[in-house]
Amino acid sequence: MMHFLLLFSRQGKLRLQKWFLPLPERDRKKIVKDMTTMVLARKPRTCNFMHWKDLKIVYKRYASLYFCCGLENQDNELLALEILHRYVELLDKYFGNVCELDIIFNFEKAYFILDEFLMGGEIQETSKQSIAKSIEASDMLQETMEEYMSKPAF
Amino acid sequence: MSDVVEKTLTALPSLFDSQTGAAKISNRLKQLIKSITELTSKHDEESLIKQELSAMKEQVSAPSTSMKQMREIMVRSMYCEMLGYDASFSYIHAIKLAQQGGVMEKRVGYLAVSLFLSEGHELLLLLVNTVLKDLQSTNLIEACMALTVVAQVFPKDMIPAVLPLVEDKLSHPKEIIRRKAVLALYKFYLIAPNQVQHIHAKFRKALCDKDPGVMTSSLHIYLQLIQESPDAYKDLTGSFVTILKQVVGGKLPLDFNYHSVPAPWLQIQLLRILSLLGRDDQSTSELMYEVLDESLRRAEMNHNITYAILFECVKAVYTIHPKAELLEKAARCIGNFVLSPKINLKYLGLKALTYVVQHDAKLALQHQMTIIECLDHSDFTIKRETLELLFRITNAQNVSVIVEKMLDFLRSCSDEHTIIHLAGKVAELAEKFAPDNSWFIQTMNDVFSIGGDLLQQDISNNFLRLLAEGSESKEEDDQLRLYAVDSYLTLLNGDASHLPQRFIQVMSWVVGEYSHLQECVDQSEVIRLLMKLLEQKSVSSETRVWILSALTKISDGQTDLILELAESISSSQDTILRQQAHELRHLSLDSKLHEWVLPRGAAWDDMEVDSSLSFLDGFVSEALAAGAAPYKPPHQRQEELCEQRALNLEPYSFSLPVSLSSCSITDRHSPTLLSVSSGLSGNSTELSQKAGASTLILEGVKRVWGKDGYLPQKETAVTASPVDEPSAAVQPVGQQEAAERLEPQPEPSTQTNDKQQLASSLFVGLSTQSSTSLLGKSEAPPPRFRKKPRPHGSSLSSSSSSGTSEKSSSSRTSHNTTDSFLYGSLLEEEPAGFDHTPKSITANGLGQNKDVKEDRRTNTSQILGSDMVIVRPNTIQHNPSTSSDLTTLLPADLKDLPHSDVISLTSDPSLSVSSCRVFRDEALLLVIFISNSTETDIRDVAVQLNCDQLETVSLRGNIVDCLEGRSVSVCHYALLMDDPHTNVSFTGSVSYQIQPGHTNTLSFSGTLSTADFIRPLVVTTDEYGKLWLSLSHDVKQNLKLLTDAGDPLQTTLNALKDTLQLHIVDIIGSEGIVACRLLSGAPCLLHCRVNGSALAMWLRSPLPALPDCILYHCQRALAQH
Repeated sequence: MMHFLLLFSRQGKLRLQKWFLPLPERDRKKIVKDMTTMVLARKPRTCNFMHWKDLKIVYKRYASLYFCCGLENQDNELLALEILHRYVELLDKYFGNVCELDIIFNFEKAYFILDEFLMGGEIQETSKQSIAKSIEASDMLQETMEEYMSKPAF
Repeated sequence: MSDVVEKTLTALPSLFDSQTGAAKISNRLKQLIKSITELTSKHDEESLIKQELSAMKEQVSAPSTSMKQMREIMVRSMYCEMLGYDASFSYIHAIKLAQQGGVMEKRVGYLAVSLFLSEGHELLLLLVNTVLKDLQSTNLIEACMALTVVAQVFPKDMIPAVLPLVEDKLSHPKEIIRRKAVLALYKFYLIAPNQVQHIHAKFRKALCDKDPGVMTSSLHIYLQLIQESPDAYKDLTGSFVTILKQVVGGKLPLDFNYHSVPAPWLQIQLLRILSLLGRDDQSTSELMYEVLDESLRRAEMNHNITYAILFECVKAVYTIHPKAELLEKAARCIGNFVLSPKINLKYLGLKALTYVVQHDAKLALQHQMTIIECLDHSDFTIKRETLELLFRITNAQNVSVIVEKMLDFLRSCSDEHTIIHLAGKVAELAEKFAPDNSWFIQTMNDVFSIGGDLLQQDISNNFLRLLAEGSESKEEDDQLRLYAVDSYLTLLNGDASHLPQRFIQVMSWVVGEYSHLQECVDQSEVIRLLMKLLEQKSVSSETRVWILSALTKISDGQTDLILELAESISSSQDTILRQQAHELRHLSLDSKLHEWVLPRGAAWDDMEVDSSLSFLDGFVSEALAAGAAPYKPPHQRQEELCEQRALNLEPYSFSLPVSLSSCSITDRHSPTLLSVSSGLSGNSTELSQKAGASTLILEGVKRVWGKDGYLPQKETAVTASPVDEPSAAVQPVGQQEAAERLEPQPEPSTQTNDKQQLASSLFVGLSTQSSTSLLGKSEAPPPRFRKKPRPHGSSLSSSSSSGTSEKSSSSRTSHNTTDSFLYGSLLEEEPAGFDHTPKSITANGLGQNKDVKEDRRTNTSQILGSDMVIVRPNTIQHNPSTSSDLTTLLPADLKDLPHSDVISLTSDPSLSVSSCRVFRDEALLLVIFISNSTETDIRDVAVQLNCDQLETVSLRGNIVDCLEGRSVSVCHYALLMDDPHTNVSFTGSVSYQIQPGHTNTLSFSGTLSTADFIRPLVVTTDEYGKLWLSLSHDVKQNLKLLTDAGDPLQTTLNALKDTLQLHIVDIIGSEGIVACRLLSGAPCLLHCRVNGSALAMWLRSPLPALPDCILYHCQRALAQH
């Protein structure tokens, strides 16, 4: 199970944080700090995995943004890399050629997409189409709330 | 600020314009982000955000703020929180937004709640109603949001409220709802497994759901369930195999493909489940061979995701019952990983090797050059993983090279967790394979100085114990000790200020105990060194205590120096130090007393521990006669304190137990142990004598306790070591093949010479051992430092020796070796027909001591309440024909107590072990019967019991010198439960010798449930009422009502009473009140009311987890009825 997912910039600015287990504020801050320093200190051409306490850390850089998650010991690192990749693909599909700015300015959207993709630290839906569909369905509300209310969703 | 952000800032206006709707709403956010980006200093940012926050605060409380604006504010406060600023004023508004807003606002409100509040937050209670409403909503989106938030943050106590609604969603027509519901239930299962117990049947339905997505989600739950009890789900193996077959065969809709691989997440989940099901189970494993083969074959595309599947496949192949053909394929797969130029794959390859090397050591040999390369890799993670692999293949020949590599790595490592982890491994290797004394001491010095105070306590404890207990030969032991003393004196002569505290403690203990062995060093010189240490400011007060007790041991004849020292310390602020100084002075003035209390160089085996503290009996009875209050164990005291002041929470009620526990902590970790308690006794004339005696006892305590009491971690570390052990057994055959394979290989010219050299030194053990086995010299070198009374060390030697003897008869195929490896029990079985020469030396002189213990029986039972364990070995001769009823052998004082049936725990040809639970008011007594099933005597039978979850319990091994043929030895352990657990498992082992020098070990395990620890609590209705109001933690649940006979309430309560030992206080109309307690500790009150066809149960207890556990057992009891 994934314990947390963090997105931060090359400068170590946090862009998105998702915690799948309850942790006190202090521990969260410590993790964010440790992750940014550890990941940013990694040299090029090293592998995408690290250890932190008894968690496995898997991270990947996409343009100026680092995606970083903490896994339990029995989890598969490669698979986690693909989870990160799929999330990027989803963001890309939603925003259209996604960049860091999209995530900064629409971070709540990034959260919504994440909530459709992962739930309780496990993959909920792997299909790009379905996720896009359900996000769209919710987004539609914004424009045509009245219209929507009069007919069933989906 | 980010360059990218800066660069794009100029383009911002157009970016905004291109977006619709959403952008307008969060315009303020954009302004905020923009202005933050323009700032240059952290300070400016802070003041800007503060300003922003106060503006928002004003805005949220203004009545005119619309929901839409509120939503925008919420997004901004989320942003501020992400930047690390406190926006807690908006939490309540987030809940309001989720409650009152339209769908759009709700969405943001729920998101804000899930980001702001974590599971325990009190405001979450306010969300429960909203979630309930939305779960019932016909609007799909609302229901989705509610399910999402339930899985993200939800108070544990409130789960019963939403559970029925979430359960209903399992049969919702929309698959997205079903999927979310399954995941929400999974989450519930993780946080409160007892509460979703009744819906297991529905999980099965989810598994058979027509939507593959729902089925995939249900696998999360199954993986968890199967991990906990694989046997209960063996029947599902066929279904899982079929599903995997279909997935691999591409039968799923294309939508589930990920980079044209069919449903990889699903595949991996299934592979994990299958490996759990197939472990150690041949018939189940056979079902999955075909599909595993298929998966290995199909996953050929060169993409990360296929490698992820392959990795999981390989692990499964090596976990389940082995099949030669599959193992071969899997090994080839690992080769692909290891040799891949991609660093991520290399890393996984190393991991896979680490995993399989225990099954198949030759794989490591095949890849030795790659491993060497990885060892010098620039990537920290790869290096660490390589060392992990090397750790697994360490043997007596390559240990020094591998340990050297590990220490090198440790020196350059700064990560605390890694240091702790690896230093522990180095210590373990050093202890197991050390080639000689000086190397061992030097390595341990390195471990202590590098690991410093991060090291786990048990490393130093083990080290000291090893020095103290020694091996069979006194000469060798003294040599080792001498080395240690020499090395430490040299270190102390240098600059000692940088040494870690833990290391100084170890050194001072060793010097204190053994410096007399070194004759060419003057004792006063040693004293001077230790006193120099005492003067250092960096030395902590705990360490000072260690140093002082070392000084106490060697003070003999150096009265002047010591008196001066004692004088200077006796004015110390630290009471423990002062106490020690007094003792020191007393002892140094009276050399006879000193000699008697601290005999120089006395063997530890001779020391006896009077764990019943009977020498205090006189003192206790005197005090009681003088009107002192009788002793109560800490838990009882705590509970009474709680009861007395129901409203008064932690800060007060804590003080007494805390100080007590801190006492007991010091006595475990430092040699001050009983000086504290002797100080409490306060009898000045006896003081020094008692203090002296207590020091003696301390050492004994260490020895007896070390094993099962305070070294549980070590325990697991050692149990993990079968990794090495079987590989030793497998090596002779596996390596031989590998060696043959390696021989014809021409020297690759590309490899540099030193790498080759390193390879040969690293893998030396693996290949040389195989060559010796070719010559017929089968015996692997025994571990150098073998602890005498340790069942582990000895089981290791016995199994390796029988392993080698078996080897000669087994055919030499790798398949066969793996087979025999997997069935470790085969190896452990000692062939019958040893000669039974009686051992001449009685191990601990326990024989004489037994009588003494019997005499003290009356005293000890008095003290039983004080967390003390009484172990009473008594051997009973009986006729084998009537052996079936062991309960007749229960000690007389236990016979009358309620007890369970005798269950057989385990047996082997010579011994059988059974247990019986006896329910005593203040404890659960676990009685263990060890019956000798042979005609011959069995010697040195020692029982050892471990139970991690019963933390306050003190356990002690029980040793019987000689168990005559066909006789039974009975011993019992008192177990206490402080933290309620639904089920607690215990493990243990019996070690015994049929033939001197060959210790056999028979391990057993079992489970105890809370029900065993529940005792009726007899109270009146009035008392019940008062108690009810004073208790805080409550749980409510509907239970099944038994309606088969008579009054349903009465019948149900009686059924519960019978199985759970509850006390029915009163039944009034359709309500019943019942009371019980956890042993003599925390009470739990149950209030039952008939509610239609169900029994509404309301439980209250001061312990949060107790109602849950009791509820669980009530549910089970009623279900079984």
